Amino acid sequence: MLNFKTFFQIAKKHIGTCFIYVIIFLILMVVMTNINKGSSTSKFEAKSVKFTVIDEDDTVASHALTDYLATKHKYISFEGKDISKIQDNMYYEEISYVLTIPKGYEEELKNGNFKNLVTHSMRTDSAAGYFFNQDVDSYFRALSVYQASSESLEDSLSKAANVMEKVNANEVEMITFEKTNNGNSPSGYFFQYFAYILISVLLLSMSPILMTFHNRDLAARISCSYLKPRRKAAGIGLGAICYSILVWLIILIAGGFGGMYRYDPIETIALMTANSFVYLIVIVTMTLCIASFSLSEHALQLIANVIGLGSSFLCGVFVPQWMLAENVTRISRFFPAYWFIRNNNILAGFNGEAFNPDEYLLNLGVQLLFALAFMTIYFVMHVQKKAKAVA
Amino acid sequence: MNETAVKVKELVKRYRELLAVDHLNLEIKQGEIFGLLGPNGSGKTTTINCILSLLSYDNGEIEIFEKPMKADAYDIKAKIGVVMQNVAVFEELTVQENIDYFCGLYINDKQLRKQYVEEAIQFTGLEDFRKFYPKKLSGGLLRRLNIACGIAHKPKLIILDEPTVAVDPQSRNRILEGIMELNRQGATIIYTSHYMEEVEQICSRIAIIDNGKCIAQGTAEELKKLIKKREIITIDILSVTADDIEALKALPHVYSVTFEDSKLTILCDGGSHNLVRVLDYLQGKEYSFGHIHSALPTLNDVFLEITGKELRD
Amino acid sequence: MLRTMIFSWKTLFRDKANTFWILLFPIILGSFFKIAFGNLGATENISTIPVAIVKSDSVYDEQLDNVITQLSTEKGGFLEASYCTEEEAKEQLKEKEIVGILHSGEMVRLSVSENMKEQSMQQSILKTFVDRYNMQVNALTELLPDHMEQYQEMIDALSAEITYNANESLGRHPDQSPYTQYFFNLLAMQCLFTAVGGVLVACHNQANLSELAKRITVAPTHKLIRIVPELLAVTIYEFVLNAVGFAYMAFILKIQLLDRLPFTVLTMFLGCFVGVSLGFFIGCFGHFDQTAKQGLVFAVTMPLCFLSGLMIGNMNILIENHLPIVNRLNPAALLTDSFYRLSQYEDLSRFYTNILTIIGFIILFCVTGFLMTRRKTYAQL
Repeated sequence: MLNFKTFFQIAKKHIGTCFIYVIIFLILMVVMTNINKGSSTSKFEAKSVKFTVIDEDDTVASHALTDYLATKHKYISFEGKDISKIQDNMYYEEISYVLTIPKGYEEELKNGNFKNLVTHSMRTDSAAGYFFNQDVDSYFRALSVYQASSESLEDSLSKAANVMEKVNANEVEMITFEKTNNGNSPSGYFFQYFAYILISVLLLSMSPILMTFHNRDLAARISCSYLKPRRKAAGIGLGAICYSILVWLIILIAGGFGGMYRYDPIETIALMTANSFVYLIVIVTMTLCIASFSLSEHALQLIANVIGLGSSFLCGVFVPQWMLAENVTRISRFFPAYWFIRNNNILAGFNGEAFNPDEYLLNLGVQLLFALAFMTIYFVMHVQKKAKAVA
Repeated sequence: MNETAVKVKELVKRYRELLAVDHLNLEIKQGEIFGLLGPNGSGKTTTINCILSLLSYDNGEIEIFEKPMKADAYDIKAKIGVVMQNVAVFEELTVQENIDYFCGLYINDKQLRKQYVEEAIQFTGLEDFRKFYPKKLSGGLLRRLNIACGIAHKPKLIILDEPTVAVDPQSRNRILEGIMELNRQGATIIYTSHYMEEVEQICSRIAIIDNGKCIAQGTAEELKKLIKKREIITIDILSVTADDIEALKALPHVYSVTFEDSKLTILCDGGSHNLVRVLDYLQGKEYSFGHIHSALPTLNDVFLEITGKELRD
Repeated sequence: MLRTMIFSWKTLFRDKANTFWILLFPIILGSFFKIAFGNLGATENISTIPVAIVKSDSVYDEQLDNVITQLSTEKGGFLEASYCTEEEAKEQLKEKEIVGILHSGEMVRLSVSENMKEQSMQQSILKTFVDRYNMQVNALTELLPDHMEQYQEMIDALSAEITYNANESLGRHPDQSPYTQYFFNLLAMQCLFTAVGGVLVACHNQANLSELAKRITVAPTHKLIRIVPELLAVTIYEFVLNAVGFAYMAFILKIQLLDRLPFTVLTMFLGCFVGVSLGFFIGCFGHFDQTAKQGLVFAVTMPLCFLSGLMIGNMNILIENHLPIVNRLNPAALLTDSFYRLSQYEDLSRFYTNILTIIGFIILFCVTGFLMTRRKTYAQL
């Protein structure tokens, strides 16, 4: 209990630094959640592609093309047709397709000349672009058919648009085999980013406290006392757990104020919270292990970043898990965050995944195994350190 | 050689409510070893830091070599060597590199610096530890390195802030002798300590500081003359009567007689042959006595008498 | 000058633990990124799509059958079709063996599964196919009764091998994976993390922060003469370590970083410099100890990196579209953008603006930091 008490006395000294980290990461978390809220739409629409048109012709025909494409896809307009801005948006995949309608487009159409009517810019590996290309092609094909039947251009334009509209109205049937959450609630994203935030906050704010105990002279002094190393380790460990539960509660409450739990049934929130609690225990024990190596503050920051960002990218925090290749997820299984995110995905219903209690419990179990492993390493290291100090 | 090296006038330094230095006046002549003596927390280090312009102060003037000392008075700083209370060296540099680094802050001439570094190593007896990293040095050696870093550039004024804290007697003697040697070579030295024996041993003049005030200043002899007490005689004796005490008090120069725990303590305020007179009296009464001890007053006694408290608590 | 730098390097390189971690940091994280992004986009690659076809026993079957056979056997075909009953098809869809079911009829209908969002791109391609098919059938049905004489022309128009729409790319490397920007961000973060080195310089020179600084402060060397070479030394040290990480990404992970190498190296160097001077600036600020200041540095740089898109890739462009001033002033975004400009743009004017802004920041941080330490006596040590 002595070490438990001391833990908090030292923690008090570091409260400022800890506070900074909690605040910063909380802000990041809220921003991240709000950016992604609603980015996963549940209703199947033939994936609406964001595109823009550089219309140099500015005629009835060119407008008809833009209008048609805008009925099916999302037209993004850029003020002043700023090419470099469009290029930036392409690069970051904010838009997938840029269509350029050259001057004289209408004339060419009237002459029945369909070859190289327009030009486009897209990434050749972009499926969205490919898909959009197909739509542009369809339109021209329809138009060419109507033109071939020697209708006037005006008639052709309207008839082509008509038939396309009719075709597009033929809706796709969505069959639901497993019921899922709609995957569109903020809570899912909130807990998803939890995986990253928790690693960063705990590693960064708790290790200075833990390091104090591992300070060479101090550790030697403590190991001279009658206190058994296991009890010392337990005292510190308990302190760490209580501390991190406090941090966890702060984040959860902040989430509540941020309206993160509004749209979901209470059971889902409860299961997500339980999942995050187990994950919390994993991260605390991991932090205890890492802090047992005497490292400098700077090294710790770097390590915290490597673990935090690394496992976030590999386990599906920043990049959705289902977008990762099979061989990547095979690696990420070795990270506790993977199992946390698995549970979160099925709870939030991301990617149409359905909740399944067996899988949920299995994922919790794996996380607990991680915690157990870390705990064992932590205790072994402490006992060995004592042996070393005595030798 | 009697020009002023350091002059401190009416120095006041406050840490919020705490008055750390209270209207302190000091004048240190060139060629002196000047001791600042005082208990822990009396304001010695604060005074030093003010002299060095590390600390801002609330009132007063400080002159070094008759020029006002400021944070950017580089011409003055060039003449000063400092040995801080806490060891300040680079963990990542070896003994030799550390000395070379700090010497290089003062001396640009490569050849000269090489010579100075070598001399500083010889001087502090660190020849065998040139390539050691500070981590591997014992406490005493580390202190010596700390000193070497401060004096390698042969400054005219050396300020040593408790350089012997936590040093074994052997190393301490070596350090003290070194300081006297530096003084013989012409350096003015300011030396702070709470070990009065050290200060008494090496300092030509001493200022006693308590609660940020200078309570006495002068040579050791002058300081001792400030107080009434000149000789302390203690005698182990089984018992004496109240009459005896009165009779002893009546002896010339004796001004206080106490008896406690079979120990008779007699304080005299000067004169000579005091011990003989006391022994004559006791023998006349046929008392048998054991241990006899006659001592001259120490700076501790000076401090005790002026402030009413022990220097070392 | 050089002497101070050499001594700085000695102290820096001999701190082996730190050197090791600074060196290892981009290598590990870069590898993680590479692993995570190496196969990303794979689901977007176009491969054959398994479908089931349910016939309606009507006149429309034959026509559909012809087209499907063509698309599943010919070169360039993208379908893998099987024929079965409605129930069988649904069972296959449930087991995720097929992506969609095509129901023959006047209008071909497509059914897909709600539980297969990972296949949404393939679902979309199916939908496009179905739409195209329906369009042709509908157009012909509409036109044929009145325009029999133009039948051949219409069929020609439908089957013409015409490129209506030519590809003309905007960027230098239009096919560079957008995930490369995560590496740009990683490089930027690495640069800004050198700020910890800057804090060290500040602590070395401020008497209220370390014992060493007291000793250095009482020496007669002018502060500027000591701080400038130390800042330079730290910058070069961090730059050398970062260059190793950079080389690892460029040569081992094969991230496209090598064209316009001199400019890229310049960006890296200025990146390290702005990082170090940012740290120096923060280090000169206030009376916290070194640990707290390192924490503060971290707390400042991480959000900057977040805003430039380190965690969520499209953060950068979101800000660019809504609040571009943030991107013009955020050092992390400036660095990321510089790397991006170099790899994607012929016109480098924005790159130069970025570089000038970074230099501006360096001067701002160094000068204010220096003004804060200069001539300083301390109220408390």
